[in-house]
Amino acid sequence: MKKNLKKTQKYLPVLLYVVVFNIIVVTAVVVVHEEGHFFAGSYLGCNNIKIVLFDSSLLSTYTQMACSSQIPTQILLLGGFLLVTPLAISLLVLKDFNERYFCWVILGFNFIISSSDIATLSGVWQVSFLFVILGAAAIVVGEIMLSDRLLILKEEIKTDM
Amino acid sequence: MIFEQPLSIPFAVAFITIVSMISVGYRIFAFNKQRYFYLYGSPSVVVAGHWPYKTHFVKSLTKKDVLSHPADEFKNEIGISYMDFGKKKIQLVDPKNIFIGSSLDGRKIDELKKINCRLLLYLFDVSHNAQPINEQIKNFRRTVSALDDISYIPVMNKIDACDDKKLEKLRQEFKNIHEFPSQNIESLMNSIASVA
Repeated sequence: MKKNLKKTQKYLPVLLYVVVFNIIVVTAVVVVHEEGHFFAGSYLGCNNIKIVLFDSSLLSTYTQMACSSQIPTQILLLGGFLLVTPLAISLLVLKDFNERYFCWVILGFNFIISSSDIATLSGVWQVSFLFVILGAAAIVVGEIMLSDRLLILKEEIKTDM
Repeated sequence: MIFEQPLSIPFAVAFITIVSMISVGYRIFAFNKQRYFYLYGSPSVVVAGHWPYKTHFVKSLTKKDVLSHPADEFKNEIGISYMDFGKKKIQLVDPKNIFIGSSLDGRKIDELKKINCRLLLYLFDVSHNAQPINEQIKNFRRTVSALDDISYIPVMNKIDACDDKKLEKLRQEFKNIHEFPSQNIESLMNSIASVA
C-alpha cells in the first residue's frame, strides 16, 4: 500500500500539469467560442453585443445581441465553432511540443459547446448528441496521448539525470 | 438573440477536471502495470561481476539513445536498461553488487530469479589492482550455480590495463571469452542476441 502510494506520488506533477493546463485551455476555448459569435455579430451589423462569461442567475455562459431579421443566423451560430477549429488545428504544427495534444482537447470541447448551435442550425436535435459523443471521444484521446507522452518523458528525464 | 452554451465556464472547468483526472489516473495505472509486466516478462540478461566500470559497459551496449531507468519495483538497487538488436529488445539487468563481502546477497538473487533471465554476462576485472583471478572465477561459479546454471558469456573487463597472468588464466579457463573495451562490440552483441 505504502509502495503503491509512493509510486503514484511520483506521477503527481504529471497529473497536476494536465489538470491545470486543461482548466486554462478549456476556459480559453469558452471565451474564444463566445468571441466567435461576437465577431460574427459585429461583422454582420448586430447591435448591443455582449458576452456574459457567467450569469449567476441563469448559471450559464452566453453571447447576447440584437440583430435585424435579414441577418443570416447560420453565420452567427457557426461563428463560435469556426473561430476555435482553425486555432485548435494550428496546434498540430508544434511537432516537438507536448502542447500539440491539446488540439484534441480543444477540438473535442469545441464540439461539445457547439452542439446546441449545430442542432439549432440543422433543425435536428439528435445532431447535438452526435457532437457531444464525438467531442467527448476527442477529449479522451487527447488526454490519453498527452498523459502517455508526459509519463514517458518523465522516465527519460530521470534517465538523463 | 441569445447564443447560450450547454456548458458554462464553472461547469466546463469541473467537467474537464474530472475527465482529465480520470484519464491521467488510468494511464498512470496502466503505465505502471505495463512496466511491471515488461520488467518481469521480457528476455533479460544479467550483468554481474566486478563492479567498477560495469555501468559503463552496460551503457556501451545499450547506447545513449536507449531508454533506461532504475526499477523501483525492486527493494535493492538493480538498474534496468534496454539493448536494441534489430527488432529484438533485450533487457539488461544490472545488480549493483550481488556479493556482501565474500557471500552472495540472497535477497538480490531471489529478485533476479523473478525476472525472465536467459543469460549471465559476467565481467572479470583483469587490471593489475583487481581481485585475484582465482577469487573472481570462484565468485563466477557461485553466481552461475545460484542462478540455476544459467547460460553465460564471460567478458574480460579493463583489457586496456590488463595483467597478463590474469589474462592467460582466463583464456585457459574459458575457450570463448570476449574483451572490453573492444572495437568489435558487435560480436559480443551478436552473442548476447543469439542466446537471449
